[in-house]
Amino acid sequence: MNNRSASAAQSFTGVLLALPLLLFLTLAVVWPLAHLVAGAFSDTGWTALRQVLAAGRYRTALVNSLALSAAAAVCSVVLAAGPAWVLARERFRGRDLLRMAISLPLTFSGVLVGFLMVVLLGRIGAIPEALAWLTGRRMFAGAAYTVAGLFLAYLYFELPRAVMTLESAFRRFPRELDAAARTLGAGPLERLWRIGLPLAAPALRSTLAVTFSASMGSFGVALILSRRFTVAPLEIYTEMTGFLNDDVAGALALMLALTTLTVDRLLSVEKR
Amino acid sequence: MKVHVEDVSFAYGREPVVSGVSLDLPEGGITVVIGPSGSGKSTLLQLLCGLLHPAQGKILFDDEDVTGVPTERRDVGVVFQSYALFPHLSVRENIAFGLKTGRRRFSMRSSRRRPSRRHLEERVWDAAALLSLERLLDRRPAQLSGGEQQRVALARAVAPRPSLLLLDEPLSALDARLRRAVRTELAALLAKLGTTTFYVTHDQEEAMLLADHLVVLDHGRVVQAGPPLDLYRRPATPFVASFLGEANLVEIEARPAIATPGRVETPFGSLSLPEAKSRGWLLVRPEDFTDDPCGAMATVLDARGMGPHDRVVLQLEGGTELLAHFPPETAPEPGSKVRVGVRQRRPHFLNGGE
Amino acid sequence: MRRVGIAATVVLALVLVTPIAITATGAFSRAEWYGQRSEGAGVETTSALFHYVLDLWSGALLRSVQVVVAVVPLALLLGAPAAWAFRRRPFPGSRLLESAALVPLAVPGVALAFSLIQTAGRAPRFALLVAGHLAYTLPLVVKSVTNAVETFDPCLERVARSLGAGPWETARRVTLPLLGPALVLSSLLVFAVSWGEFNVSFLLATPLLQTFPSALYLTYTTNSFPVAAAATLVFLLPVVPALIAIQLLGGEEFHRGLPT
Repeated sequence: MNNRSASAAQSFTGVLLALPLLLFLTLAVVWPLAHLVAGAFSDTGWTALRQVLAAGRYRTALVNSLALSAAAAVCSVVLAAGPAWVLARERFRGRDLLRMAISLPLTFSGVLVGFLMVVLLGRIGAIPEALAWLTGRRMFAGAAYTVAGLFLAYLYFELPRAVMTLESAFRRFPRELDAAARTLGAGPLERLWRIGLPLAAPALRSTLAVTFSASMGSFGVALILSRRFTVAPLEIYTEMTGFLNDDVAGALALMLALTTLTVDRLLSVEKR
Repeated sequence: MKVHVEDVSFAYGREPVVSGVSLDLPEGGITVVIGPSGSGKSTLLQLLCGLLHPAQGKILFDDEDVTGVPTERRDVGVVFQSYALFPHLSVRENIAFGLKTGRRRFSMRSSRRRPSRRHLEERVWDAAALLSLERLLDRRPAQLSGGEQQRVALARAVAPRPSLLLLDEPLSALDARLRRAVRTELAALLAKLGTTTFYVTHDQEEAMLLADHLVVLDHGRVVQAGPPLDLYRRPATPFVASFLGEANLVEIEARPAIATPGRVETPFGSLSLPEAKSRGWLLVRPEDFTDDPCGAMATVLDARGMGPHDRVVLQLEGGTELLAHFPPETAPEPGSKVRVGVRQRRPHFLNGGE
Repeated sequence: MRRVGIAATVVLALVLVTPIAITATGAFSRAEWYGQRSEGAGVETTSALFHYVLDLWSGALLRSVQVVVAVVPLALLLGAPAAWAFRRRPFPGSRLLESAALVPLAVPGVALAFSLIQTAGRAPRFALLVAGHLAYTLPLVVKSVTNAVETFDPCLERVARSLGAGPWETARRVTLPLLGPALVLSSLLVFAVSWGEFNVSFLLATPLLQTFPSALYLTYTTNSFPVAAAATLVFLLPVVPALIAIQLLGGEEFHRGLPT
């Protein structure tokens, strides 16, 4: 067997093994998403898309989703960086237990997070009750249902994600580079600025992408907590099941998916 | 700068790594520390540059106690075993790194100031020229070969003109052929720089070639220190003898020859061994054997031409095996009998043994 | 510096765990500090409470179990061989297919669920539900298996072939054992994701097909706090051991796809 036919045979094995995945992705991901895009170019779809993009409830929902997800992503990365560094680089008793505790919320579906926020900051939540008992004044009751509550809930499920993603990046960080910078006379801040941050930049960006995408898709949290403040996934659901308005739901879903994918791609692009 | 290490100890947890080490690095000289892996030589290097701090003992730079001074203020240059080049910086930026750091501002040596921009470029260029890196200045470390990375690491360490240069097995990542070539260049370069240098290696040839002062380390302790050839010829222990080159250690009882004080009867005849006191080992290097009609009778077990010399395995009558180097193409046939003696003045006696 | 860092980490862990702890006390406390148990006189004790919850949501629990039982093996079968092929038998377009497999991670579940209903609405709903779960779990399988394939020496497979093992024997005696930990890790991740998936399930499931997270939603909006808390604990019961196992196997890198 000569080289070319050998490599052809190898490719063939590869195709054969990947074929089920290819079929599945075509049927369950590519085709539906293509249909979603094509739907926007039908007459009714086009009208719906313009309706979604015009000022009003739908556009507000999209902008809300974008703003809330971006804020939660940035805040979670900022807050997670320290603990992630500690988990990755320090050795101390109880570290594994801490990591376990922090990663616990990773498995919670959005509704559960929403519920936990109600437990904490609902109309008879733990925090207002505790404050009432301590100070005699009931504060923050029902805060769970405000924008702030929604933001905190997003933060709650993004923080573990950010800590875990950053930790695995920090763990791959070569310790010797830090030592090398020290021998060349760089102090702690100089090392953070000139070595730590530039090297962490890809990890920070990909963590932003992870947390942002997860927030954009989050539906359960808003379903439980959202009152006046609406987000895109919630609008899609309402249009689809409540008003049976598939064109608007489709246009919204398209815009939501496009925004998320674009931001994800922008953040994941490797800078040369 | 001269460096004085006084009774320094360090342990990882309960495991002692360096125990009571004292040494002096001569000013402007190259001190090579050699030892098997796990002997504590890299740890010693990290103690010198301040990446680790001793549990006990003192480190003096020019009579100034630097034991508690952090690395960034110690005015050292380090070449790491893995080179530790900054992957996000070009070769130029890697070399310039140490010229731009805050060390200049709070250095122990007040004469050093942060160089001006033009001056900085000159310094980078000088360091690059010293190591023939001029044409690689805009590359990233990932785009360099192993040998080139090694040179960048060296250029980066010497560019700030440190008072003490520390090298941690800098050639161990290179393949054997390249290592031999770089070794010679490195020796010339270090001689030219004239900086006090501390060099860690486990390679005996490297040590012999580079060292002004050789320190043998084992289990965290200094076993012997001195000029390299002295250590080779007059090792203090069988460990040093066999760690530095190939050694035949023939165990004998040192009975003084009656007629001539200072001479000892050996299988190779009576030899002048004034240091011999009791039972111990006679050290004979493979190159020290001679053809001697009055020497010991030995059977040739194996003989092989190596090029520069013939490698011959001999067996004495008592069963002791010896390794001998004969001049090229003079090896006797395996199975034949020869009489071998030992070059006068060369053999060395190590007291001790059971 | 170090102490401050550790303290901050401890605080973060406490903040994240406290709400769960409050919820758990809610399920086990008989005090009525969160209002009346509206479900009647039968749920006075903790065990009665859990019986009541299990009874109420037995259908949804069963459905979730069915989905998980279908999704875990399917995800492995679809994902693992393809992931191995991406690294060991690459073919034209394999890079593209690999990145296509990761796309769902950046597509909101609601959007994908909506488009699935639009295009394949006539397919059996259970199949759609499984497909939705697969879309969000396959990326995890592909990632962890490609990672594992990258870390073992391709020579090992060639050595096996040179020693006379055929492709099947090589797969069975060399490749599969070496990928074992990654496959176990993938199964656990797929299980954890599928068990908690809500975004896709809620839209794809008809009222009779509700999975347990959807039942949680109903519980949270209609039942009293102790019932909701007990249901939450029932939900967490299988997930926490899985999570611990994932941690032990070193799966932190794949958390990207876990549900929200």
